[in-house]
Amino acid sequence: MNKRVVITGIGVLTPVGSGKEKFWSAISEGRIGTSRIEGFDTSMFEVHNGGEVRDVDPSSYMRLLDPLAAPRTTQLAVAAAKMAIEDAAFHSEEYLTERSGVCIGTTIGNGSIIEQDHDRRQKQGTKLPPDYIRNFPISYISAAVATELGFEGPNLTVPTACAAGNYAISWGADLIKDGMADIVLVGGSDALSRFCYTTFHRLGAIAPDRCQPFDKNRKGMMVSEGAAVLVLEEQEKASKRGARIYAEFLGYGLSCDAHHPTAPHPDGLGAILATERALSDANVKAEDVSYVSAHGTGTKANDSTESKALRKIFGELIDSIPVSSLKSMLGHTMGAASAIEAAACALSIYNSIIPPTINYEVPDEECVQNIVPNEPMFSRVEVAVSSSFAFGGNISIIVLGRIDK
Amino acid sequence: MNDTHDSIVITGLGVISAFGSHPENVWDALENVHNGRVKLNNYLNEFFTLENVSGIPIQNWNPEELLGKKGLQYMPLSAKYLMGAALLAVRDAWSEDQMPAPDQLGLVVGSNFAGVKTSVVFDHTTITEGPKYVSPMEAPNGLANSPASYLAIRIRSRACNTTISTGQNAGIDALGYAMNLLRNKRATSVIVGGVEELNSRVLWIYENSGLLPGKETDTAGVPFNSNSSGIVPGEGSAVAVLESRSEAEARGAHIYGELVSWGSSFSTDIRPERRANALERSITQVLQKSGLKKEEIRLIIASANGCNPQDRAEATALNNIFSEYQLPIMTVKETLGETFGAAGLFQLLSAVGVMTRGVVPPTVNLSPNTEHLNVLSGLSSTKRNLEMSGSNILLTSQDTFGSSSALLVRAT
Repeated sequence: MNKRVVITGIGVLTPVGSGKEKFWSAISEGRIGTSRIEGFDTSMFEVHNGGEVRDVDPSSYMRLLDPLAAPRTTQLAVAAAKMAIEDAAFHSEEYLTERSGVCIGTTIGNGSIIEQDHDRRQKQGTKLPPDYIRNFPISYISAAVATELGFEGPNLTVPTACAAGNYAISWGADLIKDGMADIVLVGGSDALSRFCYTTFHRLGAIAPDRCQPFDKNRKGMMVSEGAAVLVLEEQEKASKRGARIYAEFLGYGLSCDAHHPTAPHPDGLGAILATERALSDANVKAEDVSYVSAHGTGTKANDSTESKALRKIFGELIDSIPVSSLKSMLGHTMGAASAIEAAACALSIYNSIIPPTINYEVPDEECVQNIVPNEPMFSRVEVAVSSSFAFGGNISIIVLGRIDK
Repeated sequence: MNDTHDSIVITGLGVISAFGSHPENVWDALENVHNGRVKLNNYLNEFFTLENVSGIPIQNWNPEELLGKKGLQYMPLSAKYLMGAALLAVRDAWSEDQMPAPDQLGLVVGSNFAGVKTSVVFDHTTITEGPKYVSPMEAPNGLANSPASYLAIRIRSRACNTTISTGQNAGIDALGYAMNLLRNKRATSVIVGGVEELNSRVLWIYENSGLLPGKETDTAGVPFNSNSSGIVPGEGSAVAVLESRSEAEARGAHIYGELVSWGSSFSTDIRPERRANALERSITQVLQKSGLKKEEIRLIIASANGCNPQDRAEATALNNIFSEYQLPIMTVKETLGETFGAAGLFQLLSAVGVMTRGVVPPTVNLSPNTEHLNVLSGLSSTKRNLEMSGSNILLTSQDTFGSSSALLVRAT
């Protein structure tokens, strides 16, 4: 397990912009990507905002598979994967196809099929075609990515809700460390889902206008869509082919709150356990951490318990370590969230810029205080910790670090 | 990936199946070819429309007897199956004072369709009655990881909680993932489960995927037979407790067997000959990682489910590697049904049954027009005695979309 794993390619589709350059430019400038939802009729809900990918048609990235038979979550994953491969300047002959793997996380998977089928039956009295419905299984997401890119190594899909991206990244890294693959496409993908919107709406968790993580007056999260795929390679092989290395994957920690199906443990028990294990796995001390990319959904419960956990782990250091939440700009992209945040951490390390937390106005004494407020911070990032928490108590924390160029 | 100094062993088993809630019930069903098939016409509705499809549902199981009443009202069926099987596995593995600390107890679940029913109900209710009429208590049930979530709370598993959805490979992949957790000391014990439930909307997916027979419903589920008309869907949960051999031996645990190695591959081309190549690579991986030669495999438990061309691909892969050996092969899905995310755990449970009883169950419905591949002479329509001590069993599986997995299990 002494192989080093590095990030050499980034592909993203988000409500603030798609493609690495556009995404990085938007989050560095603190642009907000959430607005009134167009993907489905929100008139029946008490809130109407969310985040959608509008600048790119993900179906246009599918070449081998019929895009009309691919649900949007799958399309987003394929598009992100192709962007990532292009960004990595990867040539297929550089690795054996059977040692090239795929591992993607998701929350809702291809659930849009159910919603489209309901709409069609209700409005038109017709059914969806079988060729579309047959692609409902979650495993189709990774299978489609692999098929489009010719990757015939391990092919895995992880539906660990809103922490799924980090789960997929860490499993992909392990596949390389264990010698099962040389290159793995890892990430997360979720299309905007009416079911998901209904769920958070019924729980009273959606903010009416904007997402304000860690702000005293925060009113909730925003349901969004997106995808991110990272190219992970074994460091020696990546260096040998002259790949640009954004960051090194240093380690990860897992845990479970085992407390409640939807609510976090009030003392952040699982968050503490996973973060401590991630730091230990990465062989990093608390004082070495230069940036925390928080889960920071903007709900009362998440942000206060996450803060409690950060204070417990880092002590007084947390008052000097910059903390930010991308969800203030993107909303919560579900299974894609932690993958997008991992992409942001890698770019943060590479560019020495920490993206801000937008809409941060009034500090909350129950939350961490050193939020990067509304403007980016220009600071060298040696080590970034990225946190993800999910329904089911699923928790995965990853640690990325600067690699000597 | 294999640490020969401290291997990973199975110390507990639990099951909720159509044949009962004890491993012996499943082993009896396999050995004596119990017929659990019933017509699934009571699932018919505007979505699932195929009449007279046979399946192997769980009937007459009362979850309250095992789980108690508390919390069951809003719990999805998949979660009840998983929790039932897991509690039985936990009781099998540990006495109450032996349970590992929550921070050292991990959980990995293979499942694909656990959230389908609730997500359907939520969305349908939203567009017909309005979003305020959905139940907040059932909000988490629409996600694939909800069974694992309920179980973690019940058994206080905090080390990790991962759900894996790789189609029919999910159970074997969950075992592979758990092996990795244990080898890297991310937990000292991991409960690995597979679960799937039958309902109208899951059957709607199977129907539209072309997995179910159309008119010829009586010829479904015949493994390795080109005349088989599709799968026989099943449901339930099987669970195994995994830990390191040193931990198990230190507390004097009964050791059912050892997990040796796991492999996974994908075929970008779903033609049987290309899919066969992917499965061959998965098998080659587990052999290489274990340091074993192919002649050291004593038994294959295949994933054949009566669905062409998957069965043809599996037969071709096995033939390409093992044709020169007179190797016994058995299948389980003609009796237990195709349980997708649970299938790999049912294969593992069956492997333990062979190791425990020294009997290889027959492959039922084996007909003369079975594909003419040498390796398939290892199938038998009658049960056979087979001494398994120290022997290796290969489990194989394939997903609908082109991925395949393999797992090596060793008898103690």
